[in-house]
Amino acid sequence: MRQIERVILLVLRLALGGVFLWAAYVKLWPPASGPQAFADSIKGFKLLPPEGDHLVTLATFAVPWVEGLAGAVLVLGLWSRAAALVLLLNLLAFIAAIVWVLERGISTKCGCFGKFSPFCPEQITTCNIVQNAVLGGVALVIVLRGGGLLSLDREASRRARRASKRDGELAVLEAK
Amino acid sequence: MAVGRPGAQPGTQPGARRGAAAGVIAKALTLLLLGVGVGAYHSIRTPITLRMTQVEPTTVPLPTSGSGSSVGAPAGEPPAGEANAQAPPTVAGGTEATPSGGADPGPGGTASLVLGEYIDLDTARQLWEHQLAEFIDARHLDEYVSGHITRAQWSDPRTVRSTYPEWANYMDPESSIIVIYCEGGTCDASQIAGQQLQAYGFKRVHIMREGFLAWKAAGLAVSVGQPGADEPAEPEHAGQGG
Repeated sequence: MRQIERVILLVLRLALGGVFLWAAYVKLWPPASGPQAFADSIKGFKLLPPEGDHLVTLATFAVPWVEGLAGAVLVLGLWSRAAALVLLLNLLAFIAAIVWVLERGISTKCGCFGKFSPFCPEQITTCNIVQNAVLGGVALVIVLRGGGLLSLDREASRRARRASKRDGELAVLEAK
Repeated sequence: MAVGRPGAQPGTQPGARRGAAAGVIAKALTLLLLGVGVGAYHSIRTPITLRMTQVEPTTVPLPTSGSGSSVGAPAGEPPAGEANAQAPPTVAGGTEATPSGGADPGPGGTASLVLGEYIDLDTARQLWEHQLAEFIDARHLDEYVSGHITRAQWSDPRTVRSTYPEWANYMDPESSIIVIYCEGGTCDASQIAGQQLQAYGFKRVHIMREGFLAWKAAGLAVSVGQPGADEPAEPEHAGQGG
């Protein structure tokens, strides 16, 4: 892998991880209103059955925690491919949910970034699909190519290779 | 990044690739489960109130009986203003005529009301006067007993999630207009009851924003007593309760 590619991967990794860390933060903070607003958004999608209150409550907290954990390990460069895979699956699920909403003509807020709407209007439109597709594309690149420079994965891999090489040399010496 | 066996060169051998892919999937599942687990724990620790799904505003035409000054006051009722001017704030079960306001004249001069998720006191009053809506008290029983909007049904906020209210059996989920109220201001009981009624299939659920205290303060019809037994409140009780 060329150095320029590693640098690009680093930038993409930090950007994607940062976006999802922020998305998780604004969904959970402040505690009094953040989760409440996100729960309202989930209910607005009308995806879950009316009697599924517990699922709405679980999703209200599970989605931001998954996003936050994946975002944090992505920023650190630990388990980069796995974290990007989790986010990619997340984004695919979001796209499916948005298509569902748009097909049924439901007017609701995205809630993707809490009370903020940095890339698209507050109400769900096709813009949200494009936004998630772009983020999903970034995630896919990281899944396929890894985390690039300054990642703990890379450091762990380097150490493993060094240890392996040392073991090999020791084995050769012992054989002699 | 090399994932899999130490020393393996990723992308060089099919076996190593498969191992790396399996490792990535295993780590992704670990992250997913960890996030869901922490989220589940957080959801237990931090209670939230599930609110009503967004209600699309609907228009309700008001009956055109009665004079212009008492929009739709039911026939046989006292003229607008009379009952409200000096009357005690409670009446016996029936309707109470009060000055109208807030109704939008629709096409052809027909008055109508626009109902969103929240409705104001005046709109609620008009719905109540014309008996166009079922009023639901979402407060605790003792509060209901000591004073509630006349003809309002009571719905236990603690059991409405698990128990289909008896009064709902006589209503059409598609067309019945429901107005829920609690104490007023930021109380969540109306939202809890409203979202559950929506879950039961009721489409036209609205919340009276100002709540019971404002209704009572406006001198509108209030009764005391157990659910299903609206009795006129004694004058000395009129200022209490709620």
